[in-house]
Amino acid sequence: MLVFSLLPGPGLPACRAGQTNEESLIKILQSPAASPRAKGEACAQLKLMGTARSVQALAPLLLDEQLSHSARYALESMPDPAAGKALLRALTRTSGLMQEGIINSLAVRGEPAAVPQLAILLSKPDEGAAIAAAGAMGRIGGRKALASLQTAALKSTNSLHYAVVDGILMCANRMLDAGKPAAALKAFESLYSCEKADRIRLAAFRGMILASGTKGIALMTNAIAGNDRMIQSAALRLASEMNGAEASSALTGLLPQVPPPIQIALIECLARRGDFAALPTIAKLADSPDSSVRIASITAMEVLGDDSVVPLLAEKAASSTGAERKAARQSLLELNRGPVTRQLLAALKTAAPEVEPELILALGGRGDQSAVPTLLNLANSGNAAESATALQALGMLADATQIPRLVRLVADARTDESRSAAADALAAIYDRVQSPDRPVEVDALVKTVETGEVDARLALLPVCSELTQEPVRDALRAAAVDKDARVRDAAIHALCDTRDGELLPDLLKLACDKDGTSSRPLAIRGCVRLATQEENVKLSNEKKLQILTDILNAPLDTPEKRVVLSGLGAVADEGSLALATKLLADPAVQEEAEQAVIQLAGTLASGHPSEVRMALNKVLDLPVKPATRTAAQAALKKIK
Amino acid sequence: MRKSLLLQSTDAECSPAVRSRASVPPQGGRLRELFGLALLAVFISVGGNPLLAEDAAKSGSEMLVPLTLKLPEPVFAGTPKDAPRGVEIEPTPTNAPPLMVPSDVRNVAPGKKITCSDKGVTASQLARITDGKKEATEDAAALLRKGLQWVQFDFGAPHEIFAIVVWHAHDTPKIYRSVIVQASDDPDFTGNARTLFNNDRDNSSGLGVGADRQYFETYQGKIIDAKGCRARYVRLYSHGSTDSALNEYTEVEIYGRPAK
Repeated sequence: MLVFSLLPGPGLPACRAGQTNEESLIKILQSPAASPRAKGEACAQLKLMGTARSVQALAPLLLDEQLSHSARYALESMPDPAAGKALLRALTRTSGLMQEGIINSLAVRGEPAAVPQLAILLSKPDEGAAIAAAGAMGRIGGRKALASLQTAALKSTNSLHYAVVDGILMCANRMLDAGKPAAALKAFESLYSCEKADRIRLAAFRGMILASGTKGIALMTNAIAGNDRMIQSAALRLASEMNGAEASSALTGLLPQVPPPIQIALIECLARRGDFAALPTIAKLADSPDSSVRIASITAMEVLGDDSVVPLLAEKAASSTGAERKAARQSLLELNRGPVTRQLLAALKTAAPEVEPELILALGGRGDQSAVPTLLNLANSGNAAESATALQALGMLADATQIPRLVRLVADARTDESRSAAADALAAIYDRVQSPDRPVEVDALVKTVETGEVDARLALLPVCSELTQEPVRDALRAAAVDKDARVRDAAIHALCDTRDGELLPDLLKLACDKDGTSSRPLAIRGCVRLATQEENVKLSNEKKLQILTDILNAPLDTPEKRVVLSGLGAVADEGSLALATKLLADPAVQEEAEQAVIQLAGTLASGHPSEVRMALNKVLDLPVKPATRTAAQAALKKIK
Repeated sequence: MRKSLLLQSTDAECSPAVRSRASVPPQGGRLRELFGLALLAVFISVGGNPLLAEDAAKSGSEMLVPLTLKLPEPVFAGTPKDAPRGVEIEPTPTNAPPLMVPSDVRNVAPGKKITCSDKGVTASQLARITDGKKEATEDAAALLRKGLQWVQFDFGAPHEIFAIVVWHAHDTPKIYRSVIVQASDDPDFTGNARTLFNNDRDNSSGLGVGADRQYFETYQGKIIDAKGCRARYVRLYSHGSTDSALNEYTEVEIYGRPAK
């Protein structure tokens, strides 16, 4: 944004905000008392609002070394022809940088009337002005400018020559844009045959192709297939810009004939062009012996591919490694032409075992819910392999609304394998969809756990360990005292694995059961995990310590004491320290007790220094390992 | 890329086969020793000549061969220097002697039932652990939630286990915490669980203080000498890494054979 602040010099009429208008600005320009700065700022404003009336005031300033830049800046964008005439008049009355500036402004305006004057400058000794004139003529364009530049090109050398050639290229390109390809082609051909510099010939060649119409396609493909690297490179760059089916067909036809590096460039070009017709040819190159070509082909299918390439991409994803596999997986995810999901599902039925996971990954990753009904049917009525594969896909894809169907699949499963696979899928869905603030459907699950066939109950009880709803809790509690021993065992295992803090009392009861079930060690482990490690379970240190104390009060074997000690180390409480210190006297778990004391010393040192010191000294009184001694001494030192 | 298994220390009981390696000294002097090595080289090169194995059996000992591993491409080189303070790190092996195992030992993990402590991980995800794909890519690993987690293998029947190789994740230099490997005849690991490896130095796992050292994950994997331990189940624990609280398992290979 431009911010103008007029700062009139002494004796000037005041120009307050809102009063500024063209007349007052002109007055500033014409005032001998106005400072150059004020005049410059007036020029800047006139650029935005000036009309033909301003031209007369601005024209003299073109010859003023201090204000010429500001004046031409204002004039070059004024639509009135008078502005161009003023600039043209100044052209012959200036020299050096001022003249170059005016040349540039004439170029900006595209003043055809300036061409004869500019052409004269091409042969003058002032090289700066000549170069500027060549550039300006290129920008103005037209046959006269082109002819003058072509004449100058025959005599010019060095920097001026390049400027003249650039001017010719600009003229020719303008002709091409203006729908005059024949004239443009002549200019390009002339440069291509006469010039030696690569960059000029390259630009000229590009122009030749563009100006040659349908013949340009042959020119381009010949260049791509040829041996001239420079021309090949230009043709490849241009291939992306060539429109029309003929260009697509020609480029596709080249693919099998060219060496791998050119194949890669062509594949990328066809993908950029969105040439869907090239897909069959590109797909064949997915089996190229050259890995880079294979990757380029697979990557291009991401854009150009459709449902027909699903089997190919899945096979590639399964059989390849590294970048090739990554590309195949990405393309499977991105395919969006044709009934891709339908094709993925169809492929599942016939795919080799190693390909199936890739199809499932793609179905899950694409997140297309339309696949769910087919997958459910396949899971229900397909053969064992189809069913297992469909269930894996459902685990990744199905949402909460499908949970009852999955529960039904568990209940109706005919084999242990299919039942286990369905339960696995159900657990995966629960894991994916449940969150603390979003209740998830558990009615079907609970009903089957409570009243289903034993096999179904056994399969579903492990799923319950991931859930924290009240009905699930009740179902687990009931199953834990079921008359069927297998159900009881599965329920107790689920309780021991639960993430539900509300089930801690139930678990603690199992852990402290003095009659001792075979699952007691699991219950102890589950209690300690829930109380001290599970992040969803929020308990006070006092409560945690109470749980651990209750367990310690029951008869424990060595592995069980180690579990409790791991929990004690994590509860930053004076009571934990006391219990761990007490266990230092138990040779079976002395090492674990030492570690618990050292761990607690780190968290309790500031609040309970004397207790921590005493506990650490007890550790140091024992014949501990050097590393333990070092750690205990370090902890003690921190207190001191 | 292939390498020989490297000899590791372990607390597990040895099978007669492995004890024979340790207890039977080479007889017949240096010449015979060299001859034996030559025979061994031939044995390895032909992929396990049954005649040589038979000869070994007749002599009262079992033919042992250095088992080779197919290694993934390394992502980084050397042992990183920024090991956490106070952590005793095992040097990354370079020219350690190969681990010798009976000639009929194979990787028995593929196709076996795998379970884990994270119920949100599907069977298909767990299958990645034995799919033979060990490259350091995200999609090659099964990802278990944070905290102490385990994966467990059920061989269906007791097996003699000679080596366990684990690649948690070797995409970046990282140290996995509380790496514990146990073998058991009981799926709950509450009965006769035997610890083959334990580098949990502070008992944070609750499985006892381990004597093994922590190590940087590399493309070479961690090789654990199971010494012919007889068990139906193998369980591998971990408690996150220096890189993440999550638990990655890219590949596990268990070299063993059905128990006689």
